Amino acid sequence: MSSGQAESPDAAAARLSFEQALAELEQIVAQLEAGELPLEESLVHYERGVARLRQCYALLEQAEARVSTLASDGRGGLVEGDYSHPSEGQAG
Amino acid sequence: MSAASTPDRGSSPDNGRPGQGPETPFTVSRLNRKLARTIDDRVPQVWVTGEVGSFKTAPSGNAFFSLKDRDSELSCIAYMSAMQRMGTALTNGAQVVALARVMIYQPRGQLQLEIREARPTGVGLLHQRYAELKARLQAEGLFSRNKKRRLPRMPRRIALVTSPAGAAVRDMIRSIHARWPATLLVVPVGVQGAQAAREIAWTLRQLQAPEAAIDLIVVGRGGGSLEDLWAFNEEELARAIVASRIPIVSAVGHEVDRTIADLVADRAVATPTAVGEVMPDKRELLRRLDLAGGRLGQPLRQRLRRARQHLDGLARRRVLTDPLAAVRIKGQRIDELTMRLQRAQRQRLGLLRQRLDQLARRPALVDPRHGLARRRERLITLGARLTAGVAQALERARGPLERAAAKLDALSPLRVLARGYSLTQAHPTGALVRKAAQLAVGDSIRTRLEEGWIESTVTRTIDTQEGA
Repeated sequence: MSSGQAESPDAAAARLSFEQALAELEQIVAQLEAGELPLEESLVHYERGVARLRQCYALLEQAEARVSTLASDGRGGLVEGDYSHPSEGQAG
Repeated sequence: MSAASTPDRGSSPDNGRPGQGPETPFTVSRLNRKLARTIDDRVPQVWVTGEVGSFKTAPSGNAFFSLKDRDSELSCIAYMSAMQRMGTALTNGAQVVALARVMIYQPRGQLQLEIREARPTGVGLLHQRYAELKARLQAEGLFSRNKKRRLPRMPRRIALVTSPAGAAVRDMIRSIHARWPATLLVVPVGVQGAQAAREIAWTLRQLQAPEAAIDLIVVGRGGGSLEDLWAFNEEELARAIVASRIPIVSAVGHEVDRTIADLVADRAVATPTAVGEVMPDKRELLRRLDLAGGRLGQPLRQRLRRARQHLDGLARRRVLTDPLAAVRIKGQRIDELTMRLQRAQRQRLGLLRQRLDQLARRPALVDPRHGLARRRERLITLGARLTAGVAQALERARGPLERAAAKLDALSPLRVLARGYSLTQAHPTGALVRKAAQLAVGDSIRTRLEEGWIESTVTRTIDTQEGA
């Protein structure tokens, strides 16, 4: 959101959060279902909807089920490390 | 009492003192008074510790309750003035240290403590501190709904601020990953003991660093006694939670009272295992996306289908499939009108001819004696001109009619007759006689000449072939 160069629409779209993308997708669907748009505009909306849909799927797939630790590095920062639960260490 | 404990009291002759012999018993009142005075003298004021129970307040504002430990209990009264000083320390279940005057309630001869001061102790103390902090933070509006941050709908990095070794962290991990595949960062802290609240608060502040890229913080531990959970009721931790930029979920196991951390956090769940409840459900999100995807194409497909149907409908219309049909129909109509005109024309000509014939047959016209032959001729001429005139007028009006009229004119029997031919008809049938064989001797025939008729009787028929 810096005030520097204007982002291209694609770059702006790529930065959308899942919520924003999903909200936009649902809005597009509602608009299309209302059926009040001219056909050509509908097609433009449809294409944008498909783009948002792909984006949402991609964002969902990006989420990764992973566990690590985050602890102080002793210099005021935080450092990630491996995590294993003591009981699981014994079991495994 | 020392006087009463002389070794010889059983058989003492000093029977005049009250209560010392059946002759001089105490009255109940007097004994109560004596006991009261004795207690007053010996145990004037004591500190006693115990748990408050059966607490009731009378309309007067005086409170009645008991102080007890595991084996024993004492009835207590606290007067209204003392109650006002002590505030909320006296509640059922509270552990207190109380300053009491031991006394006999003489009307009932009942031993009781008049509580003049009470301080919470142990859990009682914690209860009181909890109640005070809760009231204070509530007054600041820190529990109000509009102070709560919204949890991210799709958190990617979630910090679990808890003990790294307890069951709680394992429950949190399982519960979250069952619904949502986020990256979980276990941030180890002590969750019990004097330093726990400070350590957790410090950790929460650290996690605010943008580099940590934390979307959501879960802070909590498994269930325990009020003392065990105490860190989560400390003001320092509450303040750190309120100050957090990142939304915080409190997941402290509890059965009765919610911890202060629960109250100030953006969301609270009752156990570490329940933390999954506030996570998005990946399957649900996928279902929603699938649904939206289906709905996305649907209206457009429908619209295109309708547009196609409409076009198909138009394409099937006659003007497009058979553009000459209309021309053909118009042509047919013209033919029809033409034929009607021709028919009408033929009828009119026929009528005219008949009329002329009748006129021509009038004796006045036929008989020259009437001196009207000239007129008759003139009439015939006029008739012919009339016929021609009508034909011309119609010809001008309509090409086809002209042709029809011309043809009709050419075929007119009158013309043929005028050239000297005659027409023979059987009489009275009117059948046109074309062959001699049509007739027999004695038949009546009628011969039509250019002018007039002849009626004859057949005397002989000669077949041309025979005759030849």
